[in-house]
Order: sequence, then structure tokens, then C-alpha cells
Amino acid sequence: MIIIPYLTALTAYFSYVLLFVFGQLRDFFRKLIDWWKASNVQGYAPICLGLEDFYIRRLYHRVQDCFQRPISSPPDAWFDVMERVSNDNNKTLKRTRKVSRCLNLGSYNYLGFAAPDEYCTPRVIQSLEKYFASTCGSRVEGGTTALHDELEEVVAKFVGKPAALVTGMGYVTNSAILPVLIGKSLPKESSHLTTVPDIQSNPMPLQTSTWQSLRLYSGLIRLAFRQNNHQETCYFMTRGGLIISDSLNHNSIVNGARGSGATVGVFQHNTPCHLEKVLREHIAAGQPRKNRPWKKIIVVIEGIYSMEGEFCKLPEIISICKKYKCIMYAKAYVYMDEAHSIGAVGKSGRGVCELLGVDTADVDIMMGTFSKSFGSCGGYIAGSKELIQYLKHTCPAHLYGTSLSPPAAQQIISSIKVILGEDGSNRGAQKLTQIRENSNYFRSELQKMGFEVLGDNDSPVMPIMLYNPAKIPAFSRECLKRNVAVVIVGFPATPLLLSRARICISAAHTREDMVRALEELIQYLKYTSPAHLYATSISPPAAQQIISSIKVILGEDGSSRGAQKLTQIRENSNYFRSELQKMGFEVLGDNDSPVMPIMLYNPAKIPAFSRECLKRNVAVVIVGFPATPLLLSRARICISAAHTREDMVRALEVISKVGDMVGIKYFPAEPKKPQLEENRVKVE
Amino acid sequence: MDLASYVPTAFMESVKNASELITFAYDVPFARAVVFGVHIGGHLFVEGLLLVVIIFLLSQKSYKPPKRPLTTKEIDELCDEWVPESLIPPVTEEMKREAPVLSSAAGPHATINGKEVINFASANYLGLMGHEKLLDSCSSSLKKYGVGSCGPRQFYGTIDVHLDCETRMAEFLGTPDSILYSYGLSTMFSAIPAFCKKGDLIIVDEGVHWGIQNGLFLSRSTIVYFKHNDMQSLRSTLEKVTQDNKRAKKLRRYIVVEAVYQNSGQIAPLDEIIQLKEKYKFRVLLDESNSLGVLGKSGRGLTEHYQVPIDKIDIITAAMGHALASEGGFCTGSHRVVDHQVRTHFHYINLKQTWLTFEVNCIVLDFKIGMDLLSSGTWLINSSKCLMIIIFKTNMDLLS
Repeated sequence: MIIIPYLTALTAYFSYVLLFVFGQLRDFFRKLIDWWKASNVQGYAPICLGLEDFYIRRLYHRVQDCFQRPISSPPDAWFDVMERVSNDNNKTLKRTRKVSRCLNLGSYNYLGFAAPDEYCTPRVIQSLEKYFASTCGSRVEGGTTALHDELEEVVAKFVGKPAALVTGMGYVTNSAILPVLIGKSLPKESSHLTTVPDIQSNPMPLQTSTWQSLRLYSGLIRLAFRQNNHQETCYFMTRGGLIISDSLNHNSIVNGARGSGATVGVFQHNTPCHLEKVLREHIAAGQPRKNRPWKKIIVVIEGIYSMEGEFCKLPEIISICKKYKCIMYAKAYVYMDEAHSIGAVGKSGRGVCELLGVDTADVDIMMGTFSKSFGSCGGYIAGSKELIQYLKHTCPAHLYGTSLSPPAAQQIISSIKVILGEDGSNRGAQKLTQIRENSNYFRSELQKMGFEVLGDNDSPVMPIMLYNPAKIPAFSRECLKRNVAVVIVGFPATPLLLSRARICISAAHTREDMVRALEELIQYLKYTSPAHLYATSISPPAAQQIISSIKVILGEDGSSRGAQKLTQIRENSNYFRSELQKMGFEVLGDNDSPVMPIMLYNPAKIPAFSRECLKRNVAVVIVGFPATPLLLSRARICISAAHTREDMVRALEVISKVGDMVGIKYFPAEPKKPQLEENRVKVE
Repeated sequence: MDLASYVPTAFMESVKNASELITFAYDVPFARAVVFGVHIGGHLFVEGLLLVVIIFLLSQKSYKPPKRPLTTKEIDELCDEWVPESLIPPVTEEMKREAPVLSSAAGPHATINGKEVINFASANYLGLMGHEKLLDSCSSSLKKYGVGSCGPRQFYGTIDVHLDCETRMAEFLGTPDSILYSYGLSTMFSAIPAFCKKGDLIIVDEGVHWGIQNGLFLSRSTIVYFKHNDMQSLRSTLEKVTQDNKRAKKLRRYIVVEAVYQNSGQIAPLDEIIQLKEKYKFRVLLDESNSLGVLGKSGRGLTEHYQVPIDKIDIITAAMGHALASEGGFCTGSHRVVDHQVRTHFHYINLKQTWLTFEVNCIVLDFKIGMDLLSSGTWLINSSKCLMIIIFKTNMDLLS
């Protein structure tokens, strides 16, 4: 759950309102001018009606240069971004010959297979020479070569399912297979006369159109229906499927679900308990209007959410789906899209199941793409043998779509072999370690810097929250200026306020690349942080002080004082904290931390504690309302390595006394441990 | 006494009783009372009573059956009782049949199960598959760019060859600009929802292929079919649609046809379609998947075949997995559409925004070389029906 700071939300809304108002003003003047010179396309309704393209004209065009940046090299760890210029305020962009070498933090090149590879590329070229670039036919129409068969076997083995089906494009895999699994009836023969009525008899326009257009088109719709009445019954009989989808699923899944015509239920992003609630509600309510029980329910989730960088909570979701089973093997089916996770996570790259320790048999349908980790194209569906046989007979992407290009298939086979170490080297394992280390390093460094980073550890996708619309292009442009290419994502793809930059880490990145990228991000912080822009710069002696002290800490002054200080502060803090706790104070914070807040709660106790301590020559800091929540006022003690043991003992004495006086020892002074132990002995 | 005379008498009697009752009410002592100078007549008293009753009734809630939401236990029971169907219907023998597996390339001659066969299945219309020049350029691009672009167009998935290919394609067809898609099947079902929205009107041939059908469905527009390749049916449909409602003029209206129908092999009579389109003011979306590189003197598709200027057609899409022996698709449009889009600063951005990953660089390059071959001199037309090979020179002037 993302919590937006109040002020940020306010400023972000304000910026959007400003953009909208100015856009409307400009549109108004544009309309006046258009009205002046009459339109030459008579009789045709304009391609864009009203506000339809407002977003694109008035918002997107302002930041257009941040998207679709052309590159002129493979999308490896470093790539050449072609520079573009605009003479009309970003409305059109022209390519120039100039390129800038940038660090690539935008491509889904998780394992570094995007660039020509020593093992894969020669084999790909061999297969190109043998099978040529395309098959010019769908899989069933002579487009299946031995390579495709081999690929399906390799993929099935890799993901841990009995069989797999490979399609030519990842997006199509989702949007073509969901309708087959649930929803529409499929024609027995694929002649055009039987396929057409599928859509024709579809009542979708009826459901979605408003009353006005309904009245208007009822005649037309009736017309469309009348022609194929016999198909209708068949269509309605096979309905009754329910898709339960994560609220942040990818557009291809949304399209697939919409295309299936099935009822779609949505559960809160990655919240298993809400999934359970939605499941129960839907099962109890049955199909809309007819209240018949559902025929089948498919729960659709993603392995890694590409916009969030989070892993799905697979074990929990699986257990919930299993719970609602009644006969063996039947349950709410799980459909998992592993577009970003396959190959990138898990000990041997087998995706989320391996990472989270879930048996692949529990995920009924596993889908994934080859365009991310494997550096190729296409998508797959893996499942039981029967499922694949059925899909091969019915899936339109299989029946009508041009089959996967043989060189692309070879690329996948070779890269899987590298990942599994079947190429005779340990490059695959190295890559996997590398991407995990890289991701974790980068994530923790980003967090240390103070960015708000979403997502889980081990995930190579890390969104950095930007919130304000003005910061979206600023971040992208400033990074590009410093030769770091990042992806930014704004409104229609994310909720209005939650715009973000996304960083995809690759195994091809070296540690130097990462350090460099982090430096650049700091540069960005420098650029945008008001403290850096407006405050007086740090005074030279102060700078010198920082440098010297860092040197001492690192031991570069030739003594071990730095190390001693570090030990001292750790020991001091732990001693002080444990003593305070023993005394019965409520102390927040973790061990090893030199900052320990003592909770006071009552407003009267705030000054009392401070004054009484001061009387006894101990200076403490107290914090009250605007800095803390109203009720949670506290005293804060900061331990230093310069404190000696005597200092500490003295301070503890004073604090204990004052604590008794003020009444802030909220916990019993002596825990009753010995008694408990005695009891236990007796029982034994 | 018989019933016929009894009923009126009974009725009269009851009326009499009632009037007596009312007179009694009038005669009660307080009925003639005067309050603040107002005579409280008996009827006022009765009316007052009635009013009270009405107000009382109105103040009552209308009767609703009590709502009892399902208890947790009941929901549990329902969940326990629920029996889902199996994920897929039982697999029939027919489904176990596997497609033939080629152990060679899908060229004109292929090997299946060790047997040499002549290939009539692939849409390799021009025989460009496996051309030496193509293979050279493919392998060099593979060495340079690798296989995948690892990102959608929006995010660093745009490689210079994609842009070159887009301009080249537009040049070849004589349109202002074009957009590449990474997969042929997805071209139509991305392009149609980009142009047609909810409430728009689409007239479509009933024999269009699955990609178009899916696009139509996803667009949520109102869809009306006409009989396959029947211009009479198209005319009457257009007539009916435009006559029935006057608001149709304010809607975006499209006719969707294929140039060469993938399912039936018929060629759409473009000249008649153009006439109808101009008469009824519809825009035309033409899918040239099977006609590009096949029809027309220099392979520019249906428009050249009928010698119709290309800007009469508003939107053209095509898959490149056929005659061009490549993969992917493209979408391009007439000057008028593009002009309009430039005017509204729309400029196809809608299309480009569809989140399709652009994957195969080598294949795009393959296509590019295919285009070069097409325009550089001799090329082959390998008609799917008669398998005749015609070699002729193209007019170089047309191209440059």
C-alpha cells in the first residue's frame, strides 16, 4: 500500500488541475481558429471526438520526448540512444544522427540475453540458414517446424509442467487464450461461416452501451441478431465462467478478460484475504441474474507485477484457491502470468514458483513471455497435456497467427540451455547470481538514498515513486542528460497520483554501472531538492570536518580510532537500551541503534521530565505534538561513542529517579521471570 | 324472490343504511359546533378523519420483504457445494491430432517425416523466403542487434531499423507515415480499437478473419455485418443504417473489409466499395494482409490492382507474415486521415500507445530487405491459386 504524503498529493492534484485548465484554454482558442477556417472533410465525423484525445494533445505531447526514444544498438547494459529535436514544442520529434551512450535501466533485459551472445547467436544464425526467418504460415498450416516442437518440450521442462504451447507474441497469448479457456463457445471447424457468429451474437454492445445509444441502435442490434439466431443458444450455453483478476494486472490480461465475455471480478492488488472474500461472495451469489452456480472460476495473477515490482503472494493465493475445491483436482483455477519473472528469479531461473517454493502442479495454467529474460519474442502457455491438446485445437493464436520465427525459437532454446548450464559453462548460474545481487544492491542503495522504492527484495523491477506530474519528465530528462536511460510511467498506466519511474536491473550490469547510476540519481536529487537549490552552500571548514571525520571512520588517519568509536557506540547504545528497558521504560527502536525514544504520552510529563533531568545535570530532548502524533509525545536520548561507562551509569540513575517521579515507567520494573521458571521446575 | 330483483334491492338498502349513518354523523351534537367562527360541519369532520388516516398510511414504510443477507455458515455451505466444471472439455480424438512437423524450412519444397513434399500451405507468395540477400541482412542484423528488443516501443524498444522500416513502408505505399506492429495477428485488433470507440458504427464483411473479429469485439462499437463480398448487401446495409437514424451522421462510421479474404480467397471489389463509401460517407479500413506484394502491377496491393489512388482508403493494415516472408504487421493511412490527425495533433499516437512489445529486430530487417528486393527490379509473383511464376520489371520511377 502506497501512502502519499498529504502535501505531495495536494501539489500533484494542483499540477494536474493546472494542466487541465491550460489545456482547456488552448483547446478553446484552437476551436475558435478552426471555426474560422471551415473544415474540408464534409460529412465525416472527426476521428477524435471531444475530449477523447485531450490527454494526448495537452499532456502527453508535453512529455513526448521521454517516450519512444529510439536506440541504435542492442538494448544491452549500455546502449546508444538517438537524440531527437523538436521545432514545434514537442509536437513532432525529429531524429538526428547524434547518439549518446547511455546506461540502460529501462529494458527488460534481465539476464543480458538481449545483446548478441557467444553461445546463442551462432546457433540462431545456423537456424536462420536452415529454417529461414519466417514460416509464412500458422502453426497448423505448415508453420510447425522441428524447432517449434523442440522449443515446446524445452519450455515445458523448464517451467515444470507436462506440456507447453508456444505462440508468436506474448500479448496475444494472454488476449487469445483467456477467451478460449472461459467464455465463448468455439467453432468445431474453423471455416469463416462458423467463426463469424461468435461475435455477431455477442450481446456485449447491449450490456455496455448507455440507454441512449441503446435506443438508437436497438434496431441495428436486432438486425444483427436476427441473422444468426441459431448461434445464440450455443453461445449462451457455454457462458457462466468467472475471471477473478488482480486489480493491477497487465493490459493484455484485461483485454483477454474483456474479449472472453465472461464476468470479471477484481480483487485488491496482491491481497489474498480480499481474494478470498471476492471468491466467497461470487460463489455464493452465482451468475448474475440467473443465480446459477458458476461453471468455472479462473483466478488470474502475475508473477512479478511490472509496475509494482512485487512478487505475487503465490502460496497464500494457491491455498485459498485450493480451499474452494470440492472434488479432487477441481477448484478455482489459477492462471499465472510470469512475463517478468520467468528466467529472472528463482535459484535456477524457473520463476516465482521456484522462488517461493510452490509446486508447479498447483498452478493450473502458467503463462509467460520470451521477450524479457530470454531476449527473444513470443509467449507460452504451460499446463497439463490435455489442456495443451485442447488449446492446440482451439486457440486462435495457434490456428490463425503466424508461427514463431525459427531463429527466435532457437534463441529461446539456446538461452534456456545457458540458464540451465547445459551449454557446458556456468554462465547461466553466474547470470542468475548476478541479477539477484545487482537487484538487491541497487534496491538497498536506492532506499538508503531516500527514494521511495516499491517492490520486494530479489525482484529486478523497482519503481521509484515520483507523484508530481512535473517530476515525471524532469526525472527522465535529467537522467538522460547524465547518460542514464530510465522508464517513466504516468497517468493512464498508473493511478493519477502514483506516477513513477521504473528501473529494470539486468545481469549484464556491472557493479561499476550500478555505482554510476546511483551517482547520477544523487545528481538528480541534487537537481530537484530545494535544499540544494536555495540553501547557502556548506561552509568550507564544515566540509573539511566531514572529510576528516569520514577518514577517521574509515581508518585512513592511520589509527584505529574509527573502529574503536564504532564499537563504543554500539556497546553504549545496547547497554543503555537494555538498562532502560529493565527499568520499565517504554523504549522504541532496535538494538544497535543509538537513538532511543522513551514514551511519555501525557503532555504534562513532557516538560516535567525535561526539567527534572536538567535539575540533575542530564540534558535530554523532548518531542511533542506537531512533531509526533498528539498522543505519542516522547523524550529522545541519543547515545554517543564519547560517553563513558560512568556517564551512562550516572545518566541511568538520574533517568530512573525522574522516571519514578514523573511516572513514565509503564512496564513493571521487575519481570517475573524467576517465578515462572520455578513453576516450570515444579511441574516437571 | 329471484336473484335479479334481489340484488338492486340489497344495493338500495345498503345505500340507505349508509346515508342514515352519515345523517347520524351530521346530527351528533358536536357536528354543528362552531370553533372560532368556523362551522364544523359533519362532512368536515369525516374529511378530517380521512386526512388523518391518509397521513398515517403515508407515514408508514411501504412493505418490503425483510432482507436477510447470507450468513457466513450459508456462504460456507454454498462454497462447499460448488462444483466447478473441469477447466477444459474432454479431449476428443480429433484434438489429439498433431499438426505436421516440418524438419526443414517451410519453403516451396519441405520435408515432413522424412518425405519430400511440395508446400502449398505456406503463404510464401513471392518466394522471398530464404532469399540470399535476406539471409545475409538477417544474420548481420542478428550479430548487431541480437534477437529481441526487450521492451515495448514506448520504453527503449524502438530501434532505428523500426523507424527506417516505417518510413520505407510509407514510401512504398505512398502514404505519409506508417506504424509497425510486432505480430501480424495483433495488427488489426490493435488498430481497430484505436480508431473505433464505444458508440461508433462499423459495417463489416461477415467473412473477415479472427484478428479483425477480435478487434471489432474489443472496440465495443456497434457492429453490423453484411453478406460476404456481396456489394448489394453492403449497399442495402449502408442504406438501412443511414436512413434509420439521423444521428448516424454524427458518429464515426467505418467499413471494414479484407483485400483478399484469408478464409475464402475472394478479392474485395474495391471500386464499388469506394463508390459506396463516398456516397454514404464512411471511412474504410482495409486489411491487405494477403494482397500486399501480390496484387497490383508493382505489388502495392488492392489499390494498385483497381488503380485507385491510395488516399481514397482511410486506414490500411497488413500482416507481413505472408508475401514479405517476415513477421509482424503495419498500419498506414490516407493523406486525409493523417492530415486530420496532424491537425488535431493526434498523429497516430493512439496507435503507438498501444502497449505492444516490439520484439523481432531481425525480422523487421528481413522485411526491409524484402522491400528493397521488391523495389529493386525483378521479383516474383507466386500466386496462391495457380502457382504460376511471373517475372517482370517494376517501374522504378513509381518508387522514387
